[in-house]
Amino acid sequence: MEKKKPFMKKLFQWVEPYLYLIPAFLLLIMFTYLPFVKNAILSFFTIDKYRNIKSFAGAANYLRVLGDEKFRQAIGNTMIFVITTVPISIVIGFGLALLARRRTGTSSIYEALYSMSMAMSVSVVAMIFQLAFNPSMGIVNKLLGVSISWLRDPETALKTIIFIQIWANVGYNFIFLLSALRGMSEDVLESAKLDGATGIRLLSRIIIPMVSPTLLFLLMKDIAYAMTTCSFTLILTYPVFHSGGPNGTTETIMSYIYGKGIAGSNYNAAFAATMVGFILAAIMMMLSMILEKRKVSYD
Amino acid sequence: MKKQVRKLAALLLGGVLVFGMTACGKEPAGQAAAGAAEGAGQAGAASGTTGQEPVKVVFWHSFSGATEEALNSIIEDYNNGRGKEQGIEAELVFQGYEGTNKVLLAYQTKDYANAPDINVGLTSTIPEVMDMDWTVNCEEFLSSGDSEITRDSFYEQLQRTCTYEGQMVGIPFANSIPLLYYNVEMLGAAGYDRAPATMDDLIDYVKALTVKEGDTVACYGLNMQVKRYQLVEFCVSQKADGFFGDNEGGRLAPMTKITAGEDGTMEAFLNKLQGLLDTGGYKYVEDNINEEFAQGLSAMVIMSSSRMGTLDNLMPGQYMTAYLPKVNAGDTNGAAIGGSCLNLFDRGDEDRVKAAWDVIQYCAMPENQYTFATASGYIPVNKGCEELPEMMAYYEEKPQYKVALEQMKAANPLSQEPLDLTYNEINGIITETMMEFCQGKLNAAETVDKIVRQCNDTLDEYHAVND
Amino acid sequence: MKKMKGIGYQFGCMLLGVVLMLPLLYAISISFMPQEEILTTRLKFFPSTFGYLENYKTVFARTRVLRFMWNSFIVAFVSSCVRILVASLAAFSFAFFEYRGKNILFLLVIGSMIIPADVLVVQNYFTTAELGLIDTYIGMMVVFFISGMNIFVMRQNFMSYSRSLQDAALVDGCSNFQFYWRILMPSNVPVITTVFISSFVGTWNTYLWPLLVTNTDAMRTAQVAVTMLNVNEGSSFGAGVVMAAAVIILIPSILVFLIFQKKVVGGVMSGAVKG
Repeated sequence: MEKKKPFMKKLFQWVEPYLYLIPAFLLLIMFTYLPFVKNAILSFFTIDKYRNIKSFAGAANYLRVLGDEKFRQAIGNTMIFVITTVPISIVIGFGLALLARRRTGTSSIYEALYSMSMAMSVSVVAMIFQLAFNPSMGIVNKLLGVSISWLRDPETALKTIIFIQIWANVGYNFIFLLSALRGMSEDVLESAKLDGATGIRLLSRIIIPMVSPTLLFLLMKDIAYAMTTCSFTLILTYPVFHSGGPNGTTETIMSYIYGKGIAGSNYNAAFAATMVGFILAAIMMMLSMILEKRKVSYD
Repeated sequence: MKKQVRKLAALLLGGVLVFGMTACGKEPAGQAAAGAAEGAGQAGAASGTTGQEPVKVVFWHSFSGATEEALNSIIEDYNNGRGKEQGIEAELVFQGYEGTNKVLLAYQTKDYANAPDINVGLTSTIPEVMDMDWTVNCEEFLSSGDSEITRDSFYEQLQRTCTYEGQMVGIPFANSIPLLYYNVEMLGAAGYDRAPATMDDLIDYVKALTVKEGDTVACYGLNMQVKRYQLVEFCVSQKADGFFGDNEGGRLAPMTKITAGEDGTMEAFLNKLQGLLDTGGYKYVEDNINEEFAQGLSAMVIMSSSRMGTLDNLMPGQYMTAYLPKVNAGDTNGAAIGGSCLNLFDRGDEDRVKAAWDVIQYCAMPENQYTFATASGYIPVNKGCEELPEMMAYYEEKPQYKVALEQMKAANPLSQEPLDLTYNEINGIITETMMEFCQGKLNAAETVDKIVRQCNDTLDEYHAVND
Repeated sequence: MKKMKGIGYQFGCMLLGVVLMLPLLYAISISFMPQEEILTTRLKFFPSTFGYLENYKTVFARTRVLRFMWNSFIVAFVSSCVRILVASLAAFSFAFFEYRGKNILFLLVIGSMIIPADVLVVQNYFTTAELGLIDTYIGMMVVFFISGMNIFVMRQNFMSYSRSLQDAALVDGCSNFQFYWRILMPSNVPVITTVFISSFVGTWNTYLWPLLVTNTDAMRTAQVAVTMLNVNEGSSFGAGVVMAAAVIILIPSILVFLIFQKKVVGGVMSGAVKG
């Protein structure tokens, strides 16, 4: 075999692992880190509607945005949204997974039914529920015999969207929890049962700890999603109210950013709000990671 | 193992193939438009009229249904007839409700390929649109002497609708005026032979027409949600100097504040609205206003004249239209004509601009206005249209459309929608605050105060940043 | 007795599933109803006849639904393929090599997972516009080409791979890349499949980014287009037509999901998610 120049070969060997990283990092930088840094920097300046920098603003944008009662309301709504949709959809998904854990003759059928909401896209789900909750034409009012304007009444709008979101999340949570449950070692379960653990004790002392990695994963993913979502607000309430819902009750942090940045060309508010939203999301995720340290077991 | 390798390889290969395909893959028309922009730019003056490739004009709009079909047929006629002779081909692109936003975004990145030559934009966006360098001021063409249409081709009210800083910058297109629609049978049964003329009359009518079953309302006397459109109309229709905003509603110069609070017009309207709310038969949210009106769940509705087409489908012959009720019996201004206009953009090719102007002229011609107006319910913008025999026959057959035209002609040209610079945010503010008013959370004075204050805040912010 | 309990149990589970899926059934039912049946205030679960196909005909005749679905498909499929390539290459580097800065670089990958993509939407729009990619397929896909999560998952999998196999391959004369391409990837097909499917479903379903980046109907994805059917107040598309469009758009994703469902569950089990 011919000997290659040791220098070139050595160089290549040294460079090789970095080469494989290039596509990933190019994309990460262009579409994640660079925009993030740009956003962060620009949020401290005053920008006109064509995104030209006009002057240094210090914390002015942040003060204005935090002083905007609509933004504070958006933060509040988003928090409510996270605190309700995430636990409830995980609990429901978990319950369904427990039901479907054992393989039976027909289990593939109801497994499919439970997980189906994962296959349905946000906009289709929105359109279906928009019709279902329509005050005069929709089936919900017809069934209940009332004429509540679910998506227009400030009392009910947010609750309705929370309901829709939970429904949409269940399938995803179910699938992950089902596979986690099915991945549990039967031996451990059997020996626990022999030791006399049943029912609730079996659930809380054995099963939950065994699937806790999955639970944590779902928790973090769902929180990240809920903190930054706005699809249902945009589709269901923006065309009607031109803002976040009746009396601002369905405005989320992200929909506020959209309203200011894309619909309003007010980038000062948009960028500051983005950074605030990011910080809040990071805090929420860190809180859940602290939860991990305390509760999750990996054995 | 090998099978899996094959599968994987096939998958990835397929992906790469599709990738390669799609890397060039925009719709041919879109690409051609971009190509034509570059090609024409290089060829300079020689392209267009005698060249082999027709000059492509991209025309953005937000119409659907029968309106879209009408526009399609007009453009098709153009492409097959006059356009062919001139070597021009127009292409319609549907944009949903964000067309003007997209133009603004494209301007920021000088993205010529993704901008249109003609856009149907709301007239309230005129200041923003004119702020962009690439927007062409139509006044140049209108007064050039060899144009088929001039200012006077259009009704005086419409001229002013598209006038900014003294010049007519856009061409009126798809314009409507608010109307009171009423269910003929229901009004007759209650003993009325004509529609209410003032808000006070309206309140009486609503009391008479509301049908209750126990605690719930089976049929509302009136259905109307007050958003920016409705509030503005009721304010500017009152008096000659009730412009809603300063600088004559932002037409002389950019608007800096709302004046409808100071001049009392907003509060006058809200007091009458309170009277409506007190009857218990006024529905202040819109769910499916057209369908509910058609089903008989409301006796009267107030909405734009552009809805007549839909109602003709849902309840032909059962409704009739009337002028917007006056807020005060002595009001003189009349409702404002509003809607959209055609904006012209220069994408770097002079021949394109001239071609686009040709398309615009064609759309404004009386015959084509007839086609468009009768399909959509929009008011024909060209004065010559109402004299066409087919238009006269149409008005005979469908008197409800004539009401819209007559209302516009009877109105003071000074009655116009304001050109508020932050109209999206203002729309949101008004919609929300009016909801609170209707829910009884704010009284009239507080509502006026809140609306004026918040709207002025947005305008201040805008000017602080953009001047 | 136990057998009956078994059957009763299963029946209960299925009933629950049907209840859960009522919205879907509702959409299907409405899509077969003419406008009058929908507008009545009376309760109507089932259309009087399943033969009313006008809504579906309208969807195909007056909207470009097939084109929309094709656009969604291209975006989802190509993005997922590219994602796998990008993620696996990076994971390969992290799992099989030692080099300076490896840990920092990996931390950067993890860090990117904390920054939710939607939050950067405004900036990314302008980046994409400056690249001239608005209203193109690539523009729609480009933000989906990278997923920190996928790199993480694949690295986990690769790390549990025996190093001795790599050494053996190298001794046999394989270059590192050949090892990657010919041995590593093919033997990790389950994980790749899972990642592919979840990427596909995820990108098929996205709404906000395609909404921003597409200007023309020709490029719109099905998710964006279906919401525009309702957009014009006074639009002449009745509820039945919108539901018919919704059902049509759902069919492929539900089909794909059903076919691959077992794989997804299996793949998830085998360690795509692990502590």
